[in-house]
Amino acid sequence: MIARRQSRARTRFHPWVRRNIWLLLCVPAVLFMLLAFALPLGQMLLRSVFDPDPTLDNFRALVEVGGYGRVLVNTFRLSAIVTLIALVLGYPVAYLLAHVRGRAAGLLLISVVLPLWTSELVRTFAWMIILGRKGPLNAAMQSLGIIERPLTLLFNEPSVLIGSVHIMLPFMILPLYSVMRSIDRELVRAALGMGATPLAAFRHVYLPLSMPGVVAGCLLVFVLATGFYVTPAALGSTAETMIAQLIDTQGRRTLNWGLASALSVVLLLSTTIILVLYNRVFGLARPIAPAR
Amino acid sequence: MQNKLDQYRRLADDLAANRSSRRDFLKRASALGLSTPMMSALLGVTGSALTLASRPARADSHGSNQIVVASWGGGFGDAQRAAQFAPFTEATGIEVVLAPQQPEIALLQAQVESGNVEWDLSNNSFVGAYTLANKGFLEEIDYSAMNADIVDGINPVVRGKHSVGIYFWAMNLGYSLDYFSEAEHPTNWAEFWDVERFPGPRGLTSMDFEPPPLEVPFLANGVAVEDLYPMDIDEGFELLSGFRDHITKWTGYSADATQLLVQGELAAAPGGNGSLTNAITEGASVGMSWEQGLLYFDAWVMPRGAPHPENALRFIEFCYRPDVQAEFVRRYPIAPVVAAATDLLAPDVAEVSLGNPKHLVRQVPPNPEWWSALNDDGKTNLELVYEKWATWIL
Repeated sequence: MIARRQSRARTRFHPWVRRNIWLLLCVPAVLFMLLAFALPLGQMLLRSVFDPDPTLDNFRALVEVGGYGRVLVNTFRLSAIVTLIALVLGYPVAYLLAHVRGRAAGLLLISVVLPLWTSELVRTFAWMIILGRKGPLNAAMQSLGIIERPLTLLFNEPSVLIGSVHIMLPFMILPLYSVMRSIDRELVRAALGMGATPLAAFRHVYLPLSMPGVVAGCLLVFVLATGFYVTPAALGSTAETMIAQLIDTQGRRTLNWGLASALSVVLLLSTTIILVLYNRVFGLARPIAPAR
Repeated sequence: MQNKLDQYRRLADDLAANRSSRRDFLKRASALGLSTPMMSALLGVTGSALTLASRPARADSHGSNQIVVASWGGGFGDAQRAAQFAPFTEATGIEVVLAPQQPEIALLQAQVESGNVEWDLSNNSFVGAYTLANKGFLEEIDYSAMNADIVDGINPVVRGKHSVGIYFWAMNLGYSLDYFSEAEHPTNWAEFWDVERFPGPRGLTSMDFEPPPLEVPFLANGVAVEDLYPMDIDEGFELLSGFRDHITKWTGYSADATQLLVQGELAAAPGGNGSLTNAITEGASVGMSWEQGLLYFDAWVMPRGAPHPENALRFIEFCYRPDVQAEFVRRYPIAPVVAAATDLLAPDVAEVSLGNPKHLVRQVPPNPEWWSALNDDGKTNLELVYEKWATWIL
């Protein structure tokens, strides 16, 4: 009797439903994302074309005024440079992190993650002091006799890049580290044992295995950098204006929320296009962690 | 005010000692202006009479003993907390909650439009205040609900229909002593513009600041103070275009500029008189010129539909007591809008205060009417300047 009731309960749902019932576990997260992300995002998209009547004026303004295109290109150019520098600096650090053992590993990891506990604003202001005319860098160069008078190191593209790379480094190092940790080092040793030079072993074995980390790290840093606001505003001049600053001006000052939405839509779409191209080339869909 | 508070305290003590009969209490309480529901509440909790002495005597009819205030931070915010917020809470029991947002006019507009108003008062520049008023986002200030003596003491220039100026401040020309000496430095906007006679990197407040210093390019190019208004916005930006290459940094809020002057990043830039004076007092290698400062005032405004309007009016009233105004100026060297407050200041404070008549007469007077004037398209001049700036910087 009991057994029959159980079997009936089991057959009440389609086998597909029974097999995939675990998908219910995603419901809270999906609901949260719908309410906190998709809904406001949808509102923003709509605001760019309804203001309140259907209109394309906001997009027309973007095209007619010019200048916006230059800022958009500038945003992606700076983001790409930041990503590349972060990769070059972050790769060796991640390698070291993945290969040291014991207490040193913990200390290294903490020193990578620690800056994330300080606000972006504070780190940006720290750079304003370090790069300042009365800052330690100028003072050191002066006392070493490299320069006679302090140099203006702030409010130009290098200062924006330095500040941005510093903030972005952990986001590059952590994905690289997580992939590198799972790379089987016996493979490199095998390559060496079969006569490969260390460089060849790295190029043909280690580097390809670490590529998923490179792809993920670059993606993360690039996307975060396109939305940069504080650092270019504080360390740059109007020549380094990024699109987030324009969105802020339109939303907070001009109160032109339609135009601000249109700018956001342009940023969203162009970032999406870049990501699609990136996916074509590097294949994000491939498993991030390589099989052991 | 203090006298009344003492009476409350005595009443509370009596209650605690059971010296006051219920009838006697009602009589004395109503003489103090307590509402009937409030009295019933008090009688219900005579046991907690001790809290009566420290709790507010008259709650807002909306039933909460707080106000939410949006204001600025930094040294200014510290001064405001010490001189206005804390003493007000002590005197009335009404808690002053500082809003987590800055008092941006867009945020106020967004609250009123969405019907979800959280602020009771916002500390806005006069251009922001008058713009918000013209666009219908503000409650009128009910001066009749405030003590007439206090209202009469407020400078009529800042007594708006929808806003009350709290203090004057000025955007003065600051300079770094790394580049110039006290004997030879730029003193007015024409000299600020003159990069040949006074070489060195310039900073200028960006035109999306509130208020934007559009007066500077006109004054720098020889327009007299009395001929300044109405300003031709396009012409102002053209004058700026001619000077753009000399501007190393468009600064944000006034303390930014002072900080960059202190660090020697900028040779000359307009900065708030308060932050400049503080830097000079602290011995930083900067100086300031009192000549042709742009005189501004900030004002309290009440968003339409503010949750605690009665408490907010009591707070406004409190801020204009001469002693409160004087205490604020002691902590931040701006100018009081209540003349009697200046008399309470020590001579050394009065000397560097913008309220000092010898400084005040050298400033360019504010023109809220021009800045908030509505154009044919329903936009104020302030909004037009912001719009122009948004495309000009591209």
